[in-house]
Order: sequence, then C-alpha cells, then structure tokens
Amino acid sequence: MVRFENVGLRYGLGPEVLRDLTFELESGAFHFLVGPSGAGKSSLLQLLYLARRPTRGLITLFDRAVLKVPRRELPALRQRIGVVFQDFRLFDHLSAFDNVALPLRLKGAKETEIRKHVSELLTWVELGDHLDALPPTLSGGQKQRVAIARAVIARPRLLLADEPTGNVDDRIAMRLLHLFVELHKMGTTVVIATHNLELVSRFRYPELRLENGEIKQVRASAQRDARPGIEAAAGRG
Amino acid sequence: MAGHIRVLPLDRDDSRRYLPWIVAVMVYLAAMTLAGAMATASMASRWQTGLTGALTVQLQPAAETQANDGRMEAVLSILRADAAVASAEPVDEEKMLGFIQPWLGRDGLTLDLPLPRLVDVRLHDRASVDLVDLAARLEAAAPGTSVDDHARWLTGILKLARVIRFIAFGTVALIAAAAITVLVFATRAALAVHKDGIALLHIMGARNRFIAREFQVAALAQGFRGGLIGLLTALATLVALGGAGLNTDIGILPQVTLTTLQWLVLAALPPAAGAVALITARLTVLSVLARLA
Repeated sequence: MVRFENVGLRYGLGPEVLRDLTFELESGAFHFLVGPSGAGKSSLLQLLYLARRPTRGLITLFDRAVLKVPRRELPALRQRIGVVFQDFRLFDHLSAFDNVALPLRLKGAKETEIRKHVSELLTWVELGDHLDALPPTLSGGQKQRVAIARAVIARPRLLLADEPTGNVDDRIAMRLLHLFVELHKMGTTVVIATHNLELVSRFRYPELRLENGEIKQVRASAQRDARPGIEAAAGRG
Repeated sequence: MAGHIRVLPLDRDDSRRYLPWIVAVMVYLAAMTLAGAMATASMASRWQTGLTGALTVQLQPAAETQANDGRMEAVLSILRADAAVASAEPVDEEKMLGFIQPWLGRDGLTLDLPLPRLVDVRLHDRASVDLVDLAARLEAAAPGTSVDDHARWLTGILKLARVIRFIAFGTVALIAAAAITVLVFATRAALAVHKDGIALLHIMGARNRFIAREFQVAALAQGFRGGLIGLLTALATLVALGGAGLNTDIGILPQVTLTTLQWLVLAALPPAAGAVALITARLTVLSVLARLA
C-alpha cells in the first residue's frame, strides 16, 4: 500500500526535516504516527497525501512510484486518500453538508446518493441537526467532526488524520476513533498522527515514532505491556 | 443543497467585485463604436441606393428670369427625348430654398439670391448615358448647363464610410484586447487569493478543469451582467442621441438608424462579453494550474 525508501524532505535550502525514512504500510494497516511537536509528522503526512514531493528517495503508493505518476493521473490517486487536517480546512461559505459532500461531488456521484450518505454520516457524528450550518457557526469539536466526515465519506483506501481528536471531549474522541476503526475493518489503511499517547495506548495498533525527522521506532502495541481492560473500554466507546 | 455548488467564493473577492463594471464600460464603448460604424454604413448605403441611376442637371442663373425659363424647357426637352432617361423633373423653388435654409436662414435675403435651377434626372434600370455627349448637347441648347452623376461625391462618401468602419472594428478589437487583459489579471489575482482553497481541492483530488469551472462560471455571470449594463446604457445614449437629432433642424448630422440585423449585433454584445470572460478565465486558470507542481 505505502512504501518509503530512503525518503528525505527539505524546504528550500534549509536542513532536511525528514531523513532516510524507510518503512512500509501494508494494505489494511492501522498506525498511529507519534512524536514530539516539530518532529515532522505533518511533513510526513503531506508526503503521504501527495501535497509535497520528496527531495530524495522513493515513495510507492497504491503500487505506483509517486514521482513517476503523470500529473493528469494524480487526481484519481488523491481521490483514494482521505485527509483530516489539524486546522480542519473547511470551506467557510459552504454548509456542513456541502463540505462533507465535496469528495463525492469530485467523484461525480449522483445527488440522490450524496444526499443519503452525507445525511447519514453527519447524523452518525451527531451533527444531523447541523446539516445547513456554516463552519464559522460551529464549535471546534463540531468542525472537527465535519472534517472527519468529509475525509471518510468517499470511503478512501488510505485515511490520514492529523490530530483528529484534538478539539473534542473523550466521549466524542472515542466515537471518532471507532469510526476510523470501522473503516479499517472494511479495508482502509489508517494513519493517525497524534500527541495523545493516552489515546494511543487504548488501542492495540502499531506506532510510527518520528523524532528529529527520523523514524525511530515501529512497533505494535500488542508487543507492549498488555493493559487489560483498555481495549474493552475502547470497544464500549 | 442541490444544484451547482460554488466551492470557491469568487463573487466576494475585491479583485472581481468591480469586474462587471469594467466590462460594462468596455461593452458601452464597443456598442457606441459599433452603432456609429453601422449607422455610417447604413447611411452610405442609402446614399448609394438613392443616387445610383440618378443625374442632376444644373442651370446657372441667367440675367433675366424669362431667359431662365426658356433654357429649362430646352433642357427638359433634350432629357425626356433620351431613351435612357426615365424621368426628368425640375426641382421647385421651395425645395431649393429648403436646401439652403439650414445655412442661410429663411429671410428676405434668399429671395434676392440668384439660385441655379436643378433638374432631377432618373435613368432606367441598368441604362447608361454618355455624360460627355449629353453635357455637350445640353450646353449647346442651353448655355451654362452642367451635368453631375454624383460619382465623385459618392466615391468619396463610400471611401469615408469604409475608413470609419475599419477604424470602428479596430477600436472594438482594442477594447476586446483591453477587456481580456483586465480579465486575465483579475483571474490571476483571484487564483492568488484562493490558493489555499485550490490547494485543498487538489489534495481532495479535484482536477484542474473542475477548478477552472469554478472560475469560468463566475466569469460568465460577471461578464454577462457587465455586458447587459453596458448595452442598456449604450441604448439609452443612442435613444437620447436619436431624440437630439430629431429635435434639431440643421440637417447636418445623419440620423442614427440601424437595421434589425444591426440591432441584433448590439444585442449579442452581453452574451459575447460573457463568452469572452468565460474563455479567458478558463484558459488563464488552466494555464496557471498547469505550471504548478
């Protein structure tokens, strides 16, 4: 699904913010991307959602070398990726409904299908009575839920989330993470960048640990000390 | 929630807010220029139609009125005997006074002025006359007679009309070029204003033509709206000009009259402005986005 080989990234003539990244995410994997602020998590996500090209190394996505993909084929590739941004990046003049509907409209879905699926999903994230609300009128948590709904509405094969639970309470955070888990069970590869180690510890999924622009550690929580009851608690969330 | 969703709020940009007014000014100038050129073309055409197949015979005033009348009879006799001539009618004195009234006024002065006598001659269709021979025969019968087939005057008028039309089309082309330049810069400015939204759309998998559609739909609406404002203002000006022309009795300025086809040309300006705006926006957006990574 995703393979990085000796990937490096620098901005302009500055130092490398990512160095010699080599790792592989298999199809249907679920990873937390952790690390301190400034470690390069957002830069790594940008490489993954094709907003940037690496300054060196090879990235393979959906079995295609990214640098060799013709420009006209990039949109189709990007439509298979869902992204949740830390700052939401909603279109302020579009309603919650239209923001969430956008990926489906970009794919050319029928309006009847769009209406059905978007309404269902927004209801699921407890925004069913805010379909016509504009983002500036929503709270941070509500905006985050709209952003997540927009990222998952088109059932992406790869879902990338940058601090997706940073603005919501624990109950909503668990609910949203379970949405990611459900997508994962349906075959979506998920990468969630987060500072919230408490949240990470409640799920038994591998971590990608970034420190000073390098992947320091890739491990599954199953390999860590078992913490009985946490997974069950997550299951109830 | 249904229908076309404008993902980028282009109508709210300062760079595009004044675009309809700029287009309105351009279309106003284009409409006035075209109307002037088309009215001149119509006028020249009317003159050509009216004067082709016509001659004017002029008798210089003689010392005595009685002698004048005798010469007129001789001239009419020769003209009416010519096979090519369909009709030959003297222009009456009242009409003559009407011709010079705009310049000299209607007072006692003109009554004392020695005026030439004119004969309006109409030829049969496709008939031709040997002007030299006719002039010689008339001069022999009535000294002081001259024949004018208007060719020299008409050639000059038609040449002037052609030049005016050429200049008008050139002016409209310049106006269109200026409008396109403004549209290109406005579109580039809007692309800069909305670069974050465009980047987000790209990340979500939007194709360049989807983004271009956003711009071209806005440009079409703004171009058409501006074109309509410009055309309506031009029509109001033309109506006012027509009214001013009707109210004056100097008879120098040609009346602004357009054919149905020419009115349709003017009516096509707003859609044309919309189409130019649409195409310009589309090509500009696609060109700029193609250069992006």
